[in-house]
Amino acid sequence: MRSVPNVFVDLSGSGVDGGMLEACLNAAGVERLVWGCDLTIDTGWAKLRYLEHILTAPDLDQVRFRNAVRIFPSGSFPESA
Amino acid sequence: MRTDVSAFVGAYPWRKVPGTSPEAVLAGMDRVGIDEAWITHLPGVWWRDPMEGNAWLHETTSREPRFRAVPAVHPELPHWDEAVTEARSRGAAALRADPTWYGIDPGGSAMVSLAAACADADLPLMLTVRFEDGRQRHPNDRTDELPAWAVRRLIRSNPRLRIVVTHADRGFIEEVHFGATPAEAERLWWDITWVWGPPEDHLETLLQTIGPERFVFGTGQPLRLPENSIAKLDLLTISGEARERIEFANAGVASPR
Repeated sequence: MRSVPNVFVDLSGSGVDGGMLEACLNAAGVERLVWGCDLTIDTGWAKLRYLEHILTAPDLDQVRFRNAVRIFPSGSFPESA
Repeated sequence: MRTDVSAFVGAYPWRKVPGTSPEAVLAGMDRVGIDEAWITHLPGVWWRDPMEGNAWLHETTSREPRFRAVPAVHPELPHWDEAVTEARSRGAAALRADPTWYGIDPGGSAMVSLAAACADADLPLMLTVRFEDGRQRHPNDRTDELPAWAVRRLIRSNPRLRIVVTHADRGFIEEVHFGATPAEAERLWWDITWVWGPPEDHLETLLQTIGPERFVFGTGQPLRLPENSIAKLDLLTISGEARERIEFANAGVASPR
C-alpha cells in the first residue's frame, strides 16, 4: 500500500479486530482512507467510533467524507456540488 | 452499568494486538463506558499448562476492583481441582476451559468432571467458540473451534451446571438452544460478541426467539474493538429493560457476587 499512492482503502467489512485500524493508518495514511460499512453497519459504526479516539478532528473528517469528495467525480456529494 | 463478560489481558500469540495490558484494557473500558470486565489470561490459552497464568490473573484482579477473574482449568492435568478451589475462594466470576486449544476432547470425561466441579463450586463454566475470524487466523493456527455438540453434552451432564458461552454466532446458539430442554436452556448464557447486529437480523431474531434473559454483554476486547458490541445494541430497537438485562443484570444471575 505504501508504494501505490493512487490506491485508496475503505474501512468496510465485518472485521473489527483490535490493531486493524492502526495497521491501516500506518500502511495507507489518513489521506487514503475512506469510510464504508458494506451494509454491516454495526461494524462500520464501531470502527468510526474508534477512529474518533485515535484521530484528530480534521483527520477524522478526511476519513468521514473529505477523502471521498476528493477522489469521486465532482457533484457526487452535496459538499462538492 | 455495563459488564463485559468476555475480555482478555496479556499478549495474543498469533498477531500484534495493541492494548493488552490491564491498564490498557481499563482505558478501553473507560473509552466506551464499561464498568466491570471478566478477564481471561489470554496467552495461557496456548500454554501447555494454562493454569500457570492463574496466579497473575488473580493478583491482577485483586488490585483492580473493576476486574473479575476467569481462571483457566485444564481438567486433564494433575491438581486441576486446586484451581477450582482457589477460584472459588478468590471470588472468580467463572472458570474457563478451552478444550480444543488444550488438545482434549471437548465433551469427554475430563470436561464432564470439570463441569461437575463447577456445579459443586457454584461457578459458571465459560467456553469460547473462537478467538478470531477464521478468515484471518494465522496459517499455523489450526485448532478446531468449539463444537456445539460439546456444549449440549456438558449442560446435559449436570443439572446444576451453568455455562456462559462466548464468541458464538447465531447458528451455533440456535443449534444448542433448540437442542436443549427448557431446563437446560435456562442454565445457558450467550455473550453477544460474535452475533451480527443491525441491519442483519441475527441479534434481533435471537432476542425474539430465545429471549433477552439468555444474553450477556461481551466484547472480546482487546482482540476486537469493544465499540462493536455497544454499536449493535445502539442500533437495535430494544426496550430499556431488555438492554439492562443484557448489559449487566443477566451476568449477575449467571455469576452472583
